[in-house]
Amino acid sequence: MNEQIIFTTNSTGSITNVHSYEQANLRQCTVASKNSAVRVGEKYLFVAQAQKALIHVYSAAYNNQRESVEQRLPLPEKVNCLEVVENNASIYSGTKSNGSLHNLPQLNLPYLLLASTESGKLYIWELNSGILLNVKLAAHYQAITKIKSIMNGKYIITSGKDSRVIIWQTNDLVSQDEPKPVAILHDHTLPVTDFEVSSVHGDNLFTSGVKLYTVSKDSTLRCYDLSTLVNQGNNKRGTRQRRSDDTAQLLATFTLPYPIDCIALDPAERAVYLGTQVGCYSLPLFYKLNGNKILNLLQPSSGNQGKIYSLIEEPTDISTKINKDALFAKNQLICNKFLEDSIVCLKVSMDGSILLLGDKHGRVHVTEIFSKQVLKTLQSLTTSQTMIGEVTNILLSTYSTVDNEKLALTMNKNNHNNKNSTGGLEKLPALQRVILDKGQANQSHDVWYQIGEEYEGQTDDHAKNSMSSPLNNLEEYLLNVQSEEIAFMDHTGISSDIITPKDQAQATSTTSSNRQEEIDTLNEKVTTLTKAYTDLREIHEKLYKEHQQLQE
Amino acid sequence: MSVKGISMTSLVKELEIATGNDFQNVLKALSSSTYVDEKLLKTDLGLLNAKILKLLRSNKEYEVWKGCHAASMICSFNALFLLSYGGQSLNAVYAKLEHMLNYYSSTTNTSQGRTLLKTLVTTTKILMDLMRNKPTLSRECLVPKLKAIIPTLIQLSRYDPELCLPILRDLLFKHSTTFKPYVNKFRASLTEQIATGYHHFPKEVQQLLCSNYAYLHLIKLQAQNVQDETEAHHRAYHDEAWRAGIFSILVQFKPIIKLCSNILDFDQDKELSKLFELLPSDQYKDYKIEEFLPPLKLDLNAPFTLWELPRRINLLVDLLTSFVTQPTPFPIRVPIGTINFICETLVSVSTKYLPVKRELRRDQDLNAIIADILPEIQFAGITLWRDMLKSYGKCFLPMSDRILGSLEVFIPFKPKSNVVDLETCKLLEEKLLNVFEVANLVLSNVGHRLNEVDSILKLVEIGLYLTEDTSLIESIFDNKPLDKKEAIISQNKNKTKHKKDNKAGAITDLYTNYDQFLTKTSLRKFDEINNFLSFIISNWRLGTSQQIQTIKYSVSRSLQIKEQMGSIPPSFVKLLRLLVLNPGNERLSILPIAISLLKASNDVAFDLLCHPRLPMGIVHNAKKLADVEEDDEKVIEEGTYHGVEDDGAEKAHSSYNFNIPEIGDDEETVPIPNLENPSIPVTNVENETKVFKKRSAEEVEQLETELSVKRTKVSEQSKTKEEIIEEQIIADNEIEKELQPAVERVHEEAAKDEIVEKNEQEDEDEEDEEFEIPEIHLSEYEDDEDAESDN
Repeated sequence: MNEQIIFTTNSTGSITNVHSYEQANLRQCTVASKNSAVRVGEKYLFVAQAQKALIHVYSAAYNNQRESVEQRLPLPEKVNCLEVVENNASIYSGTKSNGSLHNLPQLNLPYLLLASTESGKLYIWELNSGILLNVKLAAHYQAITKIKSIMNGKYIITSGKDSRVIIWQTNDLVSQDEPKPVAILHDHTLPVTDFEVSSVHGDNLFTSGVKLYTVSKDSTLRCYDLSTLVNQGNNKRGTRQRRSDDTAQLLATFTLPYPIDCIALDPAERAVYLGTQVGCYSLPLFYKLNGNKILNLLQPSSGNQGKIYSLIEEPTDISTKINKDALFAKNQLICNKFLEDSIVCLKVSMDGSILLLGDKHGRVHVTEIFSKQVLKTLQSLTTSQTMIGEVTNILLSTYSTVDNEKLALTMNKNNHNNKNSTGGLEKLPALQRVILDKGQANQSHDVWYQIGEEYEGQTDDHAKNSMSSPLNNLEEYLLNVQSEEIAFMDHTGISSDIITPKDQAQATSTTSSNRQEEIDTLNEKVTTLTKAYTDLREIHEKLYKEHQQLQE
Repeated sequence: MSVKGISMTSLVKELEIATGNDFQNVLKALSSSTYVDEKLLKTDLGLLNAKILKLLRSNKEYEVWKGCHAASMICSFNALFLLSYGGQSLNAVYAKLEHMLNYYSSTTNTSQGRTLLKTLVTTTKILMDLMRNKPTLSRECLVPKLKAIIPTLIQLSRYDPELCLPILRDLLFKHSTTFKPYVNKFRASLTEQIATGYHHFPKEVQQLLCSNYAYLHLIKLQAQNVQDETEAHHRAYHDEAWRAGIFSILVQFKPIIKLCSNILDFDQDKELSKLFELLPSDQYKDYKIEEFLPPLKLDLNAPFTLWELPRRINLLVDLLTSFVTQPTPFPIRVPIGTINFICETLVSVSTKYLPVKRELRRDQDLNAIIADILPEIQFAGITLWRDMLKSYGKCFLPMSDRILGSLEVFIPFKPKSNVVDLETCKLLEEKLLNVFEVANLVLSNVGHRLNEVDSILKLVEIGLYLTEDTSLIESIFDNKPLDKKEAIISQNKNKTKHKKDNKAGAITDLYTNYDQFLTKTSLRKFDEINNFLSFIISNWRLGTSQQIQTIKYSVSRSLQIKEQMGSIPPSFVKLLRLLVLNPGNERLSILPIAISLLKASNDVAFDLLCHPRLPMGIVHNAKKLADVEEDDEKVIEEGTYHGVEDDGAEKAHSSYNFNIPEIGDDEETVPIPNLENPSIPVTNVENETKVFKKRSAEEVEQLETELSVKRTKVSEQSKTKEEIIEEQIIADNEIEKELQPAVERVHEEAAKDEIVEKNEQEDEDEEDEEFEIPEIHLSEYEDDEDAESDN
């Protein structure tokens, strides 16, 4: 297992790993805004280019990255942020459809590509066809700072420089000409720079307790409970009524002395990490008070507005004794500080123990959270001494290395599949510039799509038993052998062959030479036996004679 | 020779003579890794190879059979053997197979012969699978042999499609190039089977036929098929042939549906006739794929010929499904828009909104058959949707509203009313379960806001009805004095049985043993319905009656099944869980009921619900402490400051949250003594007043900034806040305390004057919004939105 880091600065892009040292440099990668790179499926990396209406597609497959631009997708205009909505078709959900499981196909694209422009427009493309499904004009009044799809892509959240956070329903965005947001959160007073959403969620928004953490230039972190969004369900039809009902509950507000540029959330939501111009602060969400008391900072309160806490930095000199309770009584929380640098980008590793901090100078610090030690600092491998600029994106994804290690010895497993795709990657359909006209009905709406091959490993599917191969399921195979054999055993006409297989075997296998041997051994046996017999006989006769003598 | 394990020589000897379990043990021994040893290669493995070949070449069926299994076993587990002798084994197996095929009728008339044939084919498949993807081996041994194997299998597929078609499908998929010379032969054989006897085959074979037919199009169309030679220089997509195949199926829908227009009056529905016109009618480019399906012979005077109609549509849907939902080695272009139209058109073919043609209305048989075939045709559309949705997931998201709307067309209504015809639903039960599945697939991708609610509510109603067969029994038992006719009507689904009884004369059983005539709802059906209900419950709030019905159903049925089987099936557990988590509009939770039902079983979810873990418990303690102390504090406060400060704090707090009108209200009302303020947990009673006051002051400060400047930078605000706190800490005396209320008053008055007059007439939320909006053109936006929503 390893974790791949893709990070971009204003003028470079790099692919490297958390736990190993190889590093690849993406060519011709200039990035202006944050959240402008997104991993598309397993293999593709999309990076929205600065000053050009282009998305560069790179190959970001875990085992063979390539540095050159694989494909350039021209766009109607320059875009800032990118996000994809995964498809999650149900044949890949592990449940059997038509009795077979499927592997993921070679071309496994997410469903939507979302892109935002400087003016707050939101473009929505269907990746499989390149069709522009919708453009939401003025989704925000200013530039969108981040787009994220949540709840398996059922909803999309956008944050903007207009200090609003908007929650959309994906279905509305793709099917309505003028989609209305599900909710607009406008508690922030200055541009919302970043937000995070709980990574775990239930089937639906009602019960899942998904939380939204937004940070802003106004130095606050606000936490919302999204499950309150759907308070009134669908029974209310009136738009007005619905809109007034649909607001997420603000659970708590945390203030810092500095504007917050970015946020990262522990995978298990134990802590949030806030990046500011003076460093990164970590705030444990289960806050420890004196003694054994632990407080859930996000406990819903009876008021609708939640509590307000101010965060203060832990004093550096140990001599000062902090009374956490007293501070808490004043609604002040102590939080730790990492790395005194201007942090613009944050990411937490999959195990929640490593924090990646991207700073203003284009470096990424791999830091262990517990010890606050910087394990290594990553920099883009560029020869030019030009301005690298600040870190704009950090993408982190976990991949398994088992296959690579094993297959290094033998052959590429996907040999067969790869032979069709020249150059390794399938070309993606071009992104269209004209919105799909939903009124016009006669479109064939072609999607490039591939269904994954059937899973060939062991399945507990009894319909295929007769075909089970010994490698996949030895037990099944042997049982099959057993049941087949009955056909031969039952039949009386054949049984003579079977019942006396020994005779037959001997008859067919013996040759003249070993026959002679056999005769010899048999003769030998006969002689020994006769000898023993005669001996016995002699003894017997002797004894008999004695017996007779005694009788007389 | 090897240290552990049976020596190869004795194993070989045993292999020859072993039968039954011994033979299986020999096979097991062959899988041992001790024989994967290059030292053994020449001697021992050679010996084994010789023995296997000898068995395979024997003319005793049993020995050949043994040889087959030994070969596939050793090849599977012993890579050395596979590489050095695999080819020989394959040759020998194939030789036998060919021999058997040549004398097919005589060799397969015994059960041994059939078994042997099956084993030979399976072994061929196993050996081929093993050799595939190993470049040298497949080049040297497999591919040359394939040229013989493929035609043999094609020939055999005519006799034994179930056995051969899966292998041929694999070969088509994985060895498209090698298969090329035989495509036409295979196509001829397949099309003949599909065209003539498709509906005689079992379902699995039908599927195999269709998928093989689709896979034929993996092979690039031959040059003679491309009409326009001038376009030959265009770089063709991988999927040209495949696409041509898809279209060759798609175009066949239109004429068939047109036949339906002879039965139903399509003209009545402009939408449908528009839809119908849009169905594809042109082949893809110039690719010509011969039509192999014979024309239908329908005669309205012979109503039974109408059965051909759904049969043909089902065949087309099966073929289309194979084209679009099968794994392909390259991405294909799928016209999901067109497929969606086809589904929609098929589902629209119903008497619900379209009348039967006037001239056909007299013939009773004809009308009955029309009534029967129409749901079949509709159902074909629904299955197609289901398969597409499964494979394509969100790609159908833009169509979800239309799909849900169309599902409603399938729901049978009582004539000329909007009430669901539940009796007919019972007859369409199996089909409705598929409808639920489609609904689930669609709903799993959309959020909580949906335009098509009606059809979902109807489906819930049907779902609940379909589960109701116990109550049906009860009702019959309760009303013993039912007369015969009524009984028969109420037991709709047993109609056929009753008829038989009538003929036989003895119908007393009908009265004495009602329960014998009721088919129990199967667990599978419950699962389907439960899935659907769970989904609905977790995503929408149902009306009270439906919610209660659902609860009643889930509780009583779980209990019943538990009594019978001792446990509650997982789908019921899930439903109960979701009912607990989503009480809907009900005030009462069924948590105790659910727990009582699941008492014996370990249920993690309920365990967590009843015993919340980890910090939670501690948190509650901490909070409780604060609350208790707070109450004390309030008493003190009320005594000292006549509640003014408390009240003020609350007001300030609310005003901070832009809830301005409340200030006005509060101003008039008497201070509520028990105002809750959990946001101020205090640890020390002595500090109480101090802290509280500090806080109020701070918030008043906020109010002030908020109202006077409306948009001050928060950074400044927080600074002022901190300053104030510091001041407070230092100045902790009586004067401050006394001053405070006055300050508040002033601010509140100011606030009131400024805002109340402005907003008095408007309702709360609008004010909320106006105040929450940043100053940038937002008011404009709101207006727009309001205008839209009004529209």
